[in-house]
Amino acid sequence: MTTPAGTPPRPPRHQVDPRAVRYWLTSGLISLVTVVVVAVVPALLWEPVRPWFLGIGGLVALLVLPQVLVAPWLRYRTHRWEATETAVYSRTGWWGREWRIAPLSRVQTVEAKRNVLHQAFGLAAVSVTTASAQGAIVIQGLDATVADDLVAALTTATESTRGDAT
Amino acid sequence: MSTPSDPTREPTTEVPWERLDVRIVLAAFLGALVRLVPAALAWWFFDQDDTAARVTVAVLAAVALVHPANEALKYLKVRYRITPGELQVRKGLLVRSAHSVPLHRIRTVDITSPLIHRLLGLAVLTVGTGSNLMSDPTSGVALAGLRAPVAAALRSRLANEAELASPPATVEQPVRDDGTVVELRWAWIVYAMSGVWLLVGALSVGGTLFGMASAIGRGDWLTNGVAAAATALGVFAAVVGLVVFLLVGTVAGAVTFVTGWWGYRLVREPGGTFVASRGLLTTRSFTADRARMRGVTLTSSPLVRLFGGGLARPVMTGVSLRQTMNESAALLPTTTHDEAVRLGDTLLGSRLLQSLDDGTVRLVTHPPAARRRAVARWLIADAVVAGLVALGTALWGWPAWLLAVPVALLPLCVLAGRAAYRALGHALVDDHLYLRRGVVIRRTDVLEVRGISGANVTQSPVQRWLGLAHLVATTAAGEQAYRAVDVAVGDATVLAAALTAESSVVTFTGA
Repeated sequence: MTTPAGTPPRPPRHQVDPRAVRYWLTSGLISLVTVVVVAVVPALLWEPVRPWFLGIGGLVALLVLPQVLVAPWLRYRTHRWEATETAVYSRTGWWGREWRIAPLSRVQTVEAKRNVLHQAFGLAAVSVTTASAQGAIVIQGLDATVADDLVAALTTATESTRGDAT
Repeated sequence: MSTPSDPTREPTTEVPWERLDVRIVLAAFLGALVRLVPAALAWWFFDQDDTAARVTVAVLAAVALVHPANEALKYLKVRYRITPGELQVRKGLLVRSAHSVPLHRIRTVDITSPLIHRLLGLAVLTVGTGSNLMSDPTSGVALAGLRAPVAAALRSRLANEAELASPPATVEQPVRDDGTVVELRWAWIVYAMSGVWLLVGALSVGGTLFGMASAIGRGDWLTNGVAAAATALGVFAAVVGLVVFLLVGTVAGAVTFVTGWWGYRLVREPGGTFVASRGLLTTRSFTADRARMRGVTLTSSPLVRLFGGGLARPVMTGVSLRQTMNESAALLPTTTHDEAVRLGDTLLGSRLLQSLDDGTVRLVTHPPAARRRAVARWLIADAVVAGLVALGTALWGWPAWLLAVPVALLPLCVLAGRAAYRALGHALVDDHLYLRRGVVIRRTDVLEVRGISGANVTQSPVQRWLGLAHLVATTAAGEQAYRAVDVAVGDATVLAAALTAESSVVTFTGA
């Protein structure tokens, strides 16, 4: 194949914060523990449903397992972001890959989100939405101050291009 | 969008508040009677001791009291007015809430009038705004119960206020002097009869009959009757069943078409808005602004395609979820392919679909790897069927000859996969994105690039291996995301860069 027929989009410039690995690992472990508890507790308490709960619980745990064993590190390698002069650009995924581009002229809201787990690691997620219900870009695992700076910069940049954006 | 405010304190008090029409109470009572009277008669006539029937009648009687009372309350509570900049709707007696919809936000106006409303001279006016239809349930404001002339006057006023930004059509399409774009043609009933109703018609009719019979405690009549008929027919039961199924489906399609599209007329008004009015029992009139259209989708199911038909649907911003669900936002029925192309182009004001048919725009063929993936998908589906049948024969003693079915389907699956590949195509020409796909339901999307609010390139591991990717164009209109399936990954990159005017994402390092 000739260039550029075989080339995927270039990687965005910035990597996420290294602490994001621990964040993803912890949230994966929380899901895994939740699944195990939900399956094991009723199985111990009530014998007739034991095989069902253990069987289905085991299956779900098996599906969650990659989230703990490989996903955090693969995500860290893949997840990248960038705010160009005219657009927000991200790459995500650990199994598949997804590149998302949102031109600043179409951006409607920019916000930093911080749940309890984010706060524990000093991280934040930046969410950028457009008028399309399918158009949101979420950048996970940013350092909290980097996220605040990004939100401030994007808010200033989008204010100058505010229109109907539909 | 809708900001709660205290409208009584606003300076625009010189515009008086209007009420809904008081006849909505009568309409609600008559509507409830229409259901109550037959049920009560059936109960009285058949079996007065039946519990199910008694409960049904009691519930319907309660509805006949509660619903009119509720409408009376609504008459007291709801008021509306149009100030120079806003449509304001106020609700509540003690605790007052208010919706204010800026007039420039109004994208669609839709007037619906069910039979009883029509007899009383009433209509329901629904206004659609351009917010995210999934996340904002208040995106549509409905005034349920205005006098028909009042609703019509409101519609033209709102449409006039809202369409200031409408750009002139780039290519004038043939339209009659009075603005009529198209009127109903009875030949189109063929497409309604061979469309989706062919499959769901019998299920829907059967379900309704059974529901009605159960409500008066006679559900077993139907089930026993069907069982008796099946036993009497013996080996012919399957054949007769299929014929009845298709017959009922065809008739249901025809009835739906007649009631839904009776008196259909699509008119272009001087300002550029389109008004589609239709309906036999419930009349609908849907107003859509040309400035709100971001593209057009042309779809066809296999039988409809065989008879040379197609359905053109404009891709619009500001159609509320409710309008999408109850189909009141439909501007066109399924017509002949050529007519669908002409109508779609008229709505968009440019020869977009026509240029595909006459070869002015040629779609890019997808790479051969896409064919491998399409065929593999159909083969995997066949393998799943084979696996289930094998499981059935091993565990539940199904006859072994059933295993021949997936084997016989094998060549068909290969053909279907190849056909699915041939259906794929895309092009980006003159600020328009063309997308085509689908082997069963064939669809062609044409989107204006100005309506696209972002682009995504996605790759599964298999696609990475084959050098393919999906390109997703996100938009505030229509289905919110439109997909080019299995494009060469480099093409997806170039397209994403072009759609977002972000050329920096393309790398030439692989040269």
